[in-house]
Amino acid sequence: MITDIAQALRLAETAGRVMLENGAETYRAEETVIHVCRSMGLPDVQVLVIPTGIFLTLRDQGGQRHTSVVRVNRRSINLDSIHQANAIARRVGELSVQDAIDQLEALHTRPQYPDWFNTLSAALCSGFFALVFGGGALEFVIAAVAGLLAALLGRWAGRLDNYQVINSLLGGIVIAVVALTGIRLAGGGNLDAVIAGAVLPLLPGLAMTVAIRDTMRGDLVSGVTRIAEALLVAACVAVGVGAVLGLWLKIGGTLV
Amino acid sequence: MTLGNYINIFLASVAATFFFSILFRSPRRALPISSVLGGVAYVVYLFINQCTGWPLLGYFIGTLVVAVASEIAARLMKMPATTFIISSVIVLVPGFGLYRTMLHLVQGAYDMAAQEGTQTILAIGAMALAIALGSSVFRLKPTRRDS
Repeated sequence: MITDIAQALRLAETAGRVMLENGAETYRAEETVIHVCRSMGLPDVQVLVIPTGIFLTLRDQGGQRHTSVVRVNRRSINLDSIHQANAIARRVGELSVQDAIDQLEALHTRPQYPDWFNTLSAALCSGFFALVFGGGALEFVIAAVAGLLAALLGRWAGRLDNYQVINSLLGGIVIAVVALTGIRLAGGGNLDAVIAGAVLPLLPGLAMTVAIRDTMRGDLVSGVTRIAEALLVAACVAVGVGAVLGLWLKIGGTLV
Repeated sequence: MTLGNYINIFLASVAATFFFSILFRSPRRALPISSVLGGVAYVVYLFINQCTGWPLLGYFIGTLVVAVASEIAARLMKMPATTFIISSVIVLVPGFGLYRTMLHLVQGAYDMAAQEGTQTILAIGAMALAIALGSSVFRLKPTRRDS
């Protein structure tokens, strides 16, 4: 049973916010908030989560309503944090409210893999996708370099812009430039495999998957929002790649 | 395609999915399963595509296998199914089609672009359907939401 309603509200909104900020589906964020509130002995809770914010009203034992609106600006993808936040939320009965809040907040500051390893993964991921798409050793190397540069640039651009627009556009441009240059220097190769492989980590696979799962659950606003996000990101990557290839063809280059 | 080709592509897909999972900061415990499922997804897609000559069916079945396997893994390992699905289906996301569409567009071959673009969108639709189907099979029992 809970006595401090302000504290309870804070825990509920923190749980929802952490889920959302790390890329969870909106229904999962809603379920977590409801679960947390019930564990604190507050069964009367109304919560609406959309990808950009949380609306939350809960009623205390005296019947009085308390409302909280949370705006979520920062959205990134961290599957491990979703998993951890889920686990913390399920232990709210045993943990004190303050402990649970502290543990949820701590998820942000805990790096799971070092930064250099993340960047290296982006490179290797691009390289192996080039192999999947029918490339060989040469395509692997070029795609890995392209993926590496796109990841480094993306990290820099991520500080400017939260919504992946600049990030995706620049990524597409860099990948196309590196791919064309690399194939030219090597005197031939499979350009398709290089570009398709290097571009894959930038594509909105997550936004798409989550959009489908949200829509399926009847969270239509969230579903449509995320589909728009996915289309925007995909279009940005495509425009970045397309601009470079178009320019290259215009100045008389050929696609080997 | 020979068996050797399949094995090579399977290994490349597993490696690609593994590094992709790290980009998404997948929990360490989930890495092996996600990676193998990524490989399975692509091999199933290739195999069906080759047998039937119908890529859409390949996208559908490949994604369905991964979606169902992810739901099972989620229950065994007590983790959200999304953890596995997101990383594993990424190999099937038609980046190749998207790129070819763009290539035709900048070359002014609009008919080719429309053809390639439609196929890309249909492929995404097939994957969406498979994910929806795979996940909903496991939600037949009433959830907390119904109360």
